[in-house]
This record gives sequence, structure tokens and C-alpha cells, in this order.
Amino acid sequence: MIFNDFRFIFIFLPLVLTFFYLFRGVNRRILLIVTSIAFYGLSGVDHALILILGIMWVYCSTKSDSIKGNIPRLLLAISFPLASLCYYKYANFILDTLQLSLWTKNNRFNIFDNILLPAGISFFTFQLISFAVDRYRGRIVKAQDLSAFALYISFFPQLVAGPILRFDQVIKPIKALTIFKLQKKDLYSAISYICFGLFAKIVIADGLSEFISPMIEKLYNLSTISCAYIVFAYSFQIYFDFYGYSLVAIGLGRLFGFHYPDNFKRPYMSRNLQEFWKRWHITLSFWIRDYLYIPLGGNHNYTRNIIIVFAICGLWHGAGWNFVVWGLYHAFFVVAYSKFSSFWDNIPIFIQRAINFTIVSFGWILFLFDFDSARIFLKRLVGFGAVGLSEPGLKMWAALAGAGLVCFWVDFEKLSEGFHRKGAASMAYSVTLSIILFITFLFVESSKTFIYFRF
Amino acid sequence: MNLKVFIISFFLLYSFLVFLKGSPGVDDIFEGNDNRRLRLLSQLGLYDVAAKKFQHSLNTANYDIGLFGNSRAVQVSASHLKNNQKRYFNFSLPGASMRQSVAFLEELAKEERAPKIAIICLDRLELQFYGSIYFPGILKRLRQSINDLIWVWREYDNPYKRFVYVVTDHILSEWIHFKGIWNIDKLYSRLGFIFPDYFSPVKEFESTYLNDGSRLEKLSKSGNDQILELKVQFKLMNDYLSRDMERLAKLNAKNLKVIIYESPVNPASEKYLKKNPVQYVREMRALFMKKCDELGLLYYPAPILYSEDTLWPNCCHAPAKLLGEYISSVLLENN
Repeated sequence: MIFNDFRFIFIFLPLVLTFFYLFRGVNRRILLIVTSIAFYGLSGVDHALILILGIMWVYCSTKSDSIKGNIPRLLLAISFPLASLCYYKYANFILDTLQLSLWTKNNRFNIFDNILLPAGISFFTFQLISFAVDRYRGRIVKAQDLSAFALYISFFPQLVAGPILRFDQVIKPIKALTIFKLQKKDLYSAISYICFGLFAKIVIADGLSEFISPMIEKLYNLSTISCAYIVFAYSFQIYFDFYGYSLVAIGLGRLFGFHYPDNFKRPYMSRNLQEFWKRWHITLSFWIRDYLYIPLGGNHNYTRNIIIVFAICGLWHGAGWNFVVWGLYHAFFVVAYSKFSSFWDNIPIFIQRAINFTIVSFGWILFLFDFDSARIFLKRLVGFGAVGLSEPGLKMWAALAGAGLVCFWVDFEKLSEGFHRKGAASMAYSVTLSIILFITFLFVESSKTFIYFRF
Repeated sequence: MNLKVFIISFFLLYSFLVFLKGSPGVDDIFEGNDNRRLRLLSQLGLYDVAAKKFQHSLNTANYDIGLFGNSRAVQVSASHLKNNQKRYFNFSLPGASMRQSVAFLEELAKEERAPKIAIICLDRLELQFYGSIYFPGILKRLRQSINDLIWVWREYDNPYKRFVYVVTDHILSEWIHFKGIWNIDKLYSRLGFIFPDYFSPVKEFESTYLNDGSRLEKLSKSGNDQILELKVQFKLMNDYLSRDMERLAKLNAKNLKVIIYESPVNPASEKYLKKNPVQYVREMRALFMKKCDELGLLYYPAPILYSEDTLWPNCCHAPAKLLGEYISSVLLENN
């Protein structure tokens, strides 16, 4: 199930909320675990099974306090989630790379055909790993309740596309669930977050997708201007798609007493790639920093470590060499900034932001296309042999400009948290929010799945 | 933030959306020469078409002949019938099921605007199309649901399982209805219908309605060779069918002649069905015929319509010309 679905908005969520507030005590935790697994299981029972097995495996193998400082136990704990991730996400990529696909196809016991990627497997695998590592490091001192751990991993608002949380970020609200009472302030911000999040996804991201999708199907017909349009429109699309999801997740969390950290801080306002990664998918950046970059030696071997972590970051996003190259592309600019920061920082801020936004947007080409298509696209972009059959129309430019305005001028988090105004301002805000929700619902039927679900 | 203001303004916007259904404020488009709106009507939903046809019936004297059905009957215009001297209107609603036809006829009868002869197209039973009711409005649909439940309760010794089926079916129908309201294309079409000078149509005109309620058909070269796909799904259908026959019988007793015919399929499909009969459908048809007999309803099995020079739009939508001729012959028989 997905958030941008009427079944979720009008059936699943109201039912869960009703039962949640009817129940008291430990039943609430059980209710949230069961409904979260049902939420996930609706897209495939076998996928829910992987999730349950992952939870049980990591829980059992980290239960004993002897895991602290015990590398073999840590490896055992993370073996199952990593193996599942490798099988579901990377098996075919590895086989293709090693040119073994043909061999497996001819094999009677082929287990690599028709593998369906469980939605958000990369997200919950990272949470499972972070829990195991934190137990190993002694950051989580005591063995935890199975129900608390299961809820930490499976809770539906963050299950399929983050934010990627640490156990210590959620254990307090999990423990407080039994006595949790929704405050007016939280309810209002939850409504705002959900409305803005759905709007960002359904109206802005999917609206842009409506324009881009037919264009990229006809790569050979693209003119330079069309290609440039795709670069920037896709840049906004992927941002609003994922940002929208994160806002809804934060809003949903609030309804149950969870205060999730921000996952985005207006990333396209960044002045360089280093800053970008502190503003884009923040919880992933921090995860990579704490569980990969620092163990590799951190700043001691900066260039090498940046290259490694960004290559892995690329691979985390997708099983393909284009994603690895995308990661390395970012690594290049991060390293370049570290070398030339004294020069770069003296350029006017506006220009820094514009160049950085352009660099990031061009990077998404590798997200959107495989190598062959990206090559054709780039040729079209620079004008080699491009005979533009169709150019973006006025409507399309207006949509792009609208997305840009919202991206650079509107701060949804600030709006969601800062509604304590009274009187006419409060009325105007409430009416605007209802109009936003109304417009959003008109597009739900034609809405698409979240891009980050496939990661 | 003011929660009350948020809820009230959202509810007002939603009410506006519901209000737009049926295109209020637009005059009877089946009178006069509003060709643009007659064309735009084909882009609207079932409810809107039903509302406009219903509105037209209220504005005019009772018709002699009315044809009820869905896209399998909507193409038949007055020019296809040989009974030219009689007033005819096509009440068919594309996308509707037999249940909808019965409900529509009931609504007309309540307003004393039912045609003297109501010909009802029952979808070929092999198609197993027996969907929900979209017209009239929600309160009347709710009453209909309660009546269905009462009927199930009375008819069966052990009604619980069927009771659950009916409840689920009605809830699902309303859910589909609710989702349908939230559709930007439909909203845009409705606005285009109400204010044609300000909103251009969403799609290219595909077809157009005529003043007699019929809609121009689109013929296809491959329609003659298409073979019907057999799908057996609703086991509930017998229940609804029986209940709806009883409702029709009540209308039949009130100075209104009801004739039911099963919709034809193209000769290729007819041949296929003859070779591959479906047991479940055979039983259903036998039950249906028995029920019609008991209730005194006129029933005609699906005719075989064949003509070398006529194209079928597809396997199960008969060409207007052939269907018109067939309906004329039925009317002649019952004159």
C-alpha cells in the first residue's frame, strides 16, 4: 500500500487511528506492529515474510549482551538482512556484471528469475544493520523488547522510504505509546505535513512526470531545449517525490507521538555538493557517515573514503553501474569542493547555488536513464544531430516554473510548525490548506508510485 | 491553524464537487440543437448522462417506447426503428448494468414519466456483467441497499453469507462512486459542459449523443472477427437478477409493458459459445427464464444478428442497424 492511495487515506489510516485511540497500554504497540505488517504485506505476502524474518533474525542474534565488541556475532546478526538485500536487489546486477545470466537461465534450479524487489528493502535493511551495530558498539546497552524492536523496524510511516532512523531516536515515543495523548499542536502540524506532503508528491512531482514521461519515451525526437527541460523538470520531480513522502511520514509519525527528524532541508539551496548532502536525504547521509565513513577512517583518508562511500551510496540507490557512476559523480564534486573551497566560497552565493543546482540536476540523468539512453540523451542535449520535433509547451514551462517557485520559496516545514498564529492569519492558513488538500485529492487517481520505493 | 475552518472549507469544496454531478443549471439538452453539449455529454460519467436523460423525461410527455441498457443498446436511434410513428427515447446509460436500468425505470415510474413500453437490454449472460447502481443520488441508493438486504433476509433460510456479500457489494459500489467524484478529468469535463465557453474539452470528441438519447456508434473493421472472452465471476448474480425481475414485474403490473432481451454477440462469438457452453450460465439462464415466466415478464433470448455487409464495433456490441431491426421486430410482435 502507498500513501497516495485513497484506500490508505480513507480506509487504512482512519481505521488504524480509531483503534489506536480506542486501545490503551501495550495493545497499541501490538496494533501498530500488526497493521504495519499488513500495510507492507498488501504488496506481497512473501515480502512481509522477509521483513518478519529480518526482524526476528536481528533481534535473536543481538539479544544477548555478549554481542558488545563481538565481531562474529555482529556479522551473524547482519548476515540475513544483507543476504536478503543482495538476493532481492543485487543478484541480477552481480550476475549480469559477471556475465553469468545465461548460465543461470539454463540452470534447472534457477532462483534468479522473476525476482521482485520488496519495496523499501534498502531502508529497513539499513535500520536492522544500525541496530545490530549499535548493540555491538554498546550504544544500545540493554536488550530490548521484541515488540519495541519490531515496531522500530516495521512502523508503516517510515517503513518503505525512511527516514532511516536509529533506535535511540524512537525508543522514547515507543515506550510512551501506552499513555500517549495527541496534543492539538501535534495534530495541527500532522495535518499540515500530510497535506503538504501529498501535494508535493501528487500535484507537483506527478504533474511533472506527466510531462516528462512521454518525452523520454521518444529520446530520438528530443531537441536541446527539450533535453534541458527534462534535466530540470526531473530534478524537481525526484525532489518533490521523495520530499513529499518524507513530509507525509513525519505527519503520520506525529499522529502516533513520533517526532521524526527532517529528511530534507531545502537541498537545492545548497552552495556546494558537501552542503547538498547535509540537506538531501539527511538520515541516509548520517547513516553512511556513522556506519561507513567513520569506520573507514573518516577524514584521515578523505578522498579515498569519499569515493568509497559515494560509490556505495550510488549502489544503495539502485543495482546498476549508472547508479555507481552517479555516486562517483557526486564524490568528484565533493572532493573538488574540499580542494577549492577557498576559491568557491568567494563566488557570489547566488551563482554558487545556481551552479550547484545545475550540477545536481545533471547528475540525475544517470538516475533516469541507463548508460545507453543517457549517452543518446546527452548527445541530444548538446545538439548533435538533434532535430527537435516537439518543444515543451507553455503549460510545461509554467509547471516547471511553479515547481521552482515552491522549491526555492516555500518552506513546508516552517509552515507546518509555525501555525500558532491567531485570527485572520489562522483562518487564511486553514482555508489554504483545505484548498491544497482538495486539489491534491483530485489527482490521487492518476498518481504514481513513489520513485524511492524501488530503492 | 483552525481545525473547524479547515474541515468546513474542505467539506464545502467537496460539496461543490458533488453538486456539479449531473451538471446542474444546464437546460434540457435533448431539446433543441445544442450539438456542442450533446457531444460533450459523451465525456461525462454515467451519473451525468442519467441525470440529463432523467431531466429530459420530466420536461416532456411520456414516450411510447423507451430503450434501457448500456453501451450495448445506446447506439439505437429512432431512425433505426421501423415504428417511426411512435415517440421513442433511448434511456441507455453507457457503463450501466441491468440493475441500473431497473433503478432508472423505477425512478421514471415514480415521477410518472416511464415510457409505455420499456425494452430492457440484459447483458448476454456469458458476459457476467451485473454491476452497481450509480443513479439516483446517495440517499436513494442507500434505500436500495437496505431493500436488497431485506430481500436477502426474507428469501433465504440461511441468509448470513449472502447478507455479507450484499453488504460488501454495496460498500464497494459506494467506494467506487466516491473515488469517481475525485477525478480531475471528470471535473474538467463537467465544467466544460456547464460553461462550454470557458473550458475546452479534455479529449477530442469521440462520439456524440443525438436528440433521441442515442449515441453514435463507432464501427471497427476487426469487430466481426473478435471472439468473446468468457469470464465467470459473480456468484451473487442470481440473487440480484431474481430480485430485479421482481421489481420489473411490479412495474409491469402498473400499466407499463416491460420487454427484456438478452444482448447479442457477433456471429464468430456465437459460434464459439455454441461449441463451448458454460454450465453456470446455462443454469442461470434457465433460472432467469423460469423467473420471467412466473412473473409474467416477456423475455427474448439473444438473437443471432448476421449481415454480410455490416461491421460490428466489437464482439459484444451489435451494430445499431441490425439491433434496431431486431428491436423493431420485437415491438411489432408485441403491438
